[in-house]
Amino acid sequence: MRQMVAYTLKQAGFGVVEGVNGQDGLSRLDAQRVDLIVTDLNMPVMDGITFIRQVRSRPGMKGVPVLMLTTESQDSKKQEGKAAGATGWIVKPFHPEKLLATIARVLP
Amino acid sequence: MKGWSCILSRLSGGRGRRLAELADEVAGHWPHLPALEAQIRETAREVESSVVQVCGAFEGMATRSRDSVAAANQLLGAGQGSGIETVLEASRHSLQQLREQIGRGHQISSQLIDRMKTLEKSAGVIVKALGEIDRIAFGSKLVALNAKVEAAHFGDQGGAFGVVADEIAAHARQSEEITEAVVGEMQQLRATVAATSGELEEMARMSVGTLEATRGELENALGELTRTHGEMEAGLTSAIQGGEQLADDISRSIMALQFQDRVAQRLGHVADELADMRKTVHLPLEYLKLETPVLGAERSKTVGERLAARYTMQSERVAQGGQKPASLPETDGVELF
Repeated sequence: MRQMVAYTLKQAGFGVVEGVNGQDGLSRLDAQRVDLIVTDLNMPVMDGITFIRQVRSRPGMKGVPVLMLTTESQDSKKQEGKAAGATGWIVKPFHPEKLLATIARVLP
Repeated sequence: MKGWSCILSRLSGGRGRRLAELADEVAGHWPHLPALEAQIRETAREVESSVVQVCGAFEGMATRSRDSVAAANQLLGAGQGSGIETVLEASRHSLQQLREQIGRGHQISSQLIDRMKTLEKSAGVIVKALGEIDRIAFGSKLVALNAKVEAAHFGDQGGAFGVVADEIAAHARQSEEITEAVVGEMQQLRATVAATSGELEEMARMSVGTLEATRGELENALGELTRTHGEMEAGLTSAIQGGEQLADDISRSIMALQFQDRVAQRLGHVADELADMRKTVHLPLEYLKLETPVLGAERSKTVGERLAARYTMQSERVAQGGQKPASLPETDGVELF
């Protein structure tokens, strides 16, 4: 699924940095500045909610849009993500054009 | 009190305790088996639905690719001499005909000019011959004059000779008048022939020049068209190869996606077996529960909590609650905070 998201973004002209889980994603964020983050909720090693909390705690990362792309559609989970600092919630399966349209809306 | 301890009173020793624990464990998992079976069947259904959608999309792509290949092949003529190649061939044929007509026109013009020059030359010869006749007539007039003088010397005896001299002089004058008239006509003819010849030459030069220029432009245009056609042909050939490759790739993908059939069958077998197991275990478990209503209740709660913690989708929780799982969410399930 991560590869499909990366493919969609690359086809649209975005540069993409991929992390295999939340922890790996944080390491990559420490090494490189990004304009947007797309993360899953259920990931090994570090789940998406913890990942977002970690992202928001980093200096300079408070304004970076974070989209949660997940199979989870439960309202309580969405509220948890919102509280952690997610910018938006997209339920899979995603339509590539809708994903790109959502990204265009949240990009600064 | 734990469920298994209730039936422990009917069993004795360590073996009895283990059997009681087993019964409690089975009774605890039992209520969740239908939900798990439903999850398996729903998973198989979702896999099938998704694969059908993917295959449908792939089939559409393959069809469109094949249609594009067929259209490109038709445009190229596909070795049947149709399409642009036919137009080019017809143009080349027309150009060749034009080339031949220009040559023929040039040849006819040259022949006409040569004939006009021959006519002019003949007219010149005739004028020259008329000059000679005029000179002869002049000579005849002198002879007639001399004869007249000699006739006068002979008096009456030369009278007849004088009549002949007068007749010769009259003929000479008549000849002079005819020659003068014919020379005039011939000079007018020569002037007309010369003017016509010049005009013919001018016309031939203009016609050949215009036709040559047109032929040159046509040849350039045809050359450009042939080059462009060559490039288009190469592009189309490449597109055809790409399209055929794409259609093959898609066909292979569709075959690969047929893993769904095996997955659905295996999941179906597992779900069927789970259903059979439930039927098999159902009666003894019901018997035990009649005697011990709380059997497995506490364990069932623990199992339920464990499953709930493991689930990541609302549809799983719905299925666990015994409801029909919701269909896949629409792709516009986007919510911005």
